[in-house]
Amino acid sequence: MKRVGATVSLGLALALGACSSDGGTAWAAPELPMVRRQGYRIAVLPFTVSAPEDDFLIPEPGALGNVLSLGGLSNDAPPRHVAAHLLRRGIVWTLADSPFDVMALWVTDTELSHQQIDPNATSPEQIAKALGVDGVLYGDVTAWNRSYYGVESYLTAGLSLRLVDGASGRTLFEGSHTEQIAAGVTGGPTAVVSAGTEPVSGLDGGKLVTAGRKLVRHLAGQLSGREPRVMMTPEAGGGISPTLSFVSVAPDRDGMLVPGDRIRVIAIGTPGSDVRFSLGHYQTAIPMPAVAVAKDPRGDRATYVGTYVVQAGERLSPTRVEVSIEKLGLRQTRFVREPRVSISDAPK
Amino acid sequence: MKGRHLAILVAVLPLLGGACAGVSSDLNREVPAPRTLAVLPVRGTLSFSDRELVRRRLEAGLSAAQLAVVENRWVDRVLSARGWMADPAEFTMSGLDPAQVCKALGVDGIVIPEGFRTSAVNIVVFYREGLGGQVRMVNSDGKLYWSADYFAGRSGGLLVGMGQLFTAVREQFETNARVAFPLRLEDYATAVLATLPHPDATQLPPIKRPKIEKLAVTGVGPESTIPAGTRITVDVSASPSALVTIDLAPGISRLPTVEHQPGRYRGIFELPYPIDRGQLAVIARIRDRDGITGVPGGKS
Repeated sequence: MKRVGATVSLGLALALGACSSDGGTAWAAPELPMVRRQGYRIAVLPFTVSAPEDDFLIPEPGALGNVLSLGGLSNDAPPRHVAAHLLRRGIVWTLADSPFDVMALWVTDTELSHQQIDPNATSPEQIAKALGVDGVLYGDVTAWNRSYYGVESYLTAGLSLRLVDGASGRTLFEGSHTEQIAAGVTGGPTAVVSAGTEPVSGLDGGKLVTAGRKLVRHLAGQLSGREPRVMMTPEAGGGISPTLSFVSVAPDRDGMLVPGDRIRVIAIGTPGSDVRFSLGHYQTAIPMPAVAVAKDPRGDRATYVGTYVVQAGERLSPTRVEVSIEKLGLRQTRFVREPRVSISDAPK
Repeated sequence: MKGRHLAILVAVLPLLGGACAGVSSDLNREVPAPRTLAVLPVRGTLSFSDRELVRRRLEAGLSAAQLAVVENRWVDRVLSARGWMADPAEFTMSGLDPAQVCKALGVDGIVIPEGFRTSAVNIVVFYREGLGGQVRMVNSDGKLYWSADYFAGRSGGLLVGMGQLFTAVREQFETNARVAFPLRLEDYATAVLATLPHPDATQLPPIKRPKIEKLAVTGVGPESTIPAGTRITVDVSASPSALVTIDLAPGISRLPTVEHQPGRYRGIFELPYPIDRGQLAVIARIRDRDGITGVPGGKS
């Protein structure tokens, strides 16, 4: 029966050409256009993979070139992991040009890891709150498979996306799409000549990139409400808003600080930003210059350090420290729960 | 089915009635009107960022009504330094003497916004959402001069508008959007502040620009490169009751100071990385509690 279906598919492919897409399905909540206009901030969570195990494609990293960099993955990473990673990065890069404000992937991953959040076992509302975003985008790789039918080979890539609002838990967008690329007899004008070898070469990295790119562009376009203009490049995937991925407060001593003591604040975040910390509303916007910048394929990051020296006569009840990062007029603030800082005006 | 419609109508009627209520305000003309004011942090069930938005709107509205209002950031700085405000989100006047607070802030009246909340009802054919709260103005004797209580609400939907289905649906989505809060805040502030008598503008104190008088830098050795970790002390003589910040070098700006005596400010800073002596350009900036800035003073 399966063979009959495959034969029908083959026949359709012959009739339609070498490359086809299923058109997919898409549903958007009526408020999505308004949400887009408000600079809605989203985190793209790690994608799951529900594609069939049989004939799951094993991409060759070398063939993927610069278009879909593997980033932090090693060459021997499990193929399902690689597929999820590739499409997730593709979505983030493509949405970089959209009205959405997309959190950089390394920030999302670092936050999920630091806060020990399992995205599959935590509600979208809780994830959005923990990451400081307006909504979370889930993705599932529904197909990443190959099939051979004599002189014909197929590559099928499928993805479904779901955007959930962090405040209300409502689904704002849901869409799925499949791309199929055929090689062999239907693969092009010269295909008949090379029909004997095409079934194998039809599954190379270049085709994989093409399928992935089409898939991503299609779904990202439906989600953002316009045709993506940017190419999928790593540079575009850095996120738009400046972000802090790590913040730490280190006073010179536990308990009450006295004149001469220091409060040192360290933060890691987007390079080239203006980072400052505040002691509640007592002393605000204390500068934290960048002391180092680390290059990373997942996105560069800078270390910022600021110090406040306590003076004689100062008093402060236990107060929360907050750190803000600003770049190109966009700003993010993080509150540090512990330790709170307090100052006594008693002499040392 | 008929019973259900009736139940919806019964539930909606009080809400519709609420939509028509105006500002409830009270003015005590026997109490002298405060001339300089401070707006205290807003209390209520709103998120802290929304409460800060309410507070800024009240500050701006009172200033626009020709009242002399000190800047919120100055107020918070003083309240924090006095130990009255550890967490800005948790500040409360309970247990504090208004006279003592006015004296510390150097004002003759305080504005206390309390009980701020939003409410939203949405039953498809009808919605109502809005922002409410009370504002009290107390003078330095602790006497109530003015108070206002208001709920700025907006109703809509098929049941109210009897308009096109499209309009009702669109309005509902707008209601759910974040744009609704600033709109209700504007309604609230406009209505509430309209009940406050405007003072005679000619009685306002003249604007006096704050000044940087003197600046001294210590802690820098003769080396051509100032090493990381060096503590640099900057002493500034300037107009009292202001916020003075220091720029040390490119990228190290707006460092805070402490006013340890009236008009005497000191900042102690630790260099995060070594800098060339030529890069050290100390500039002091001043902004008084009314938000008026003075001419910066510098030293290379």
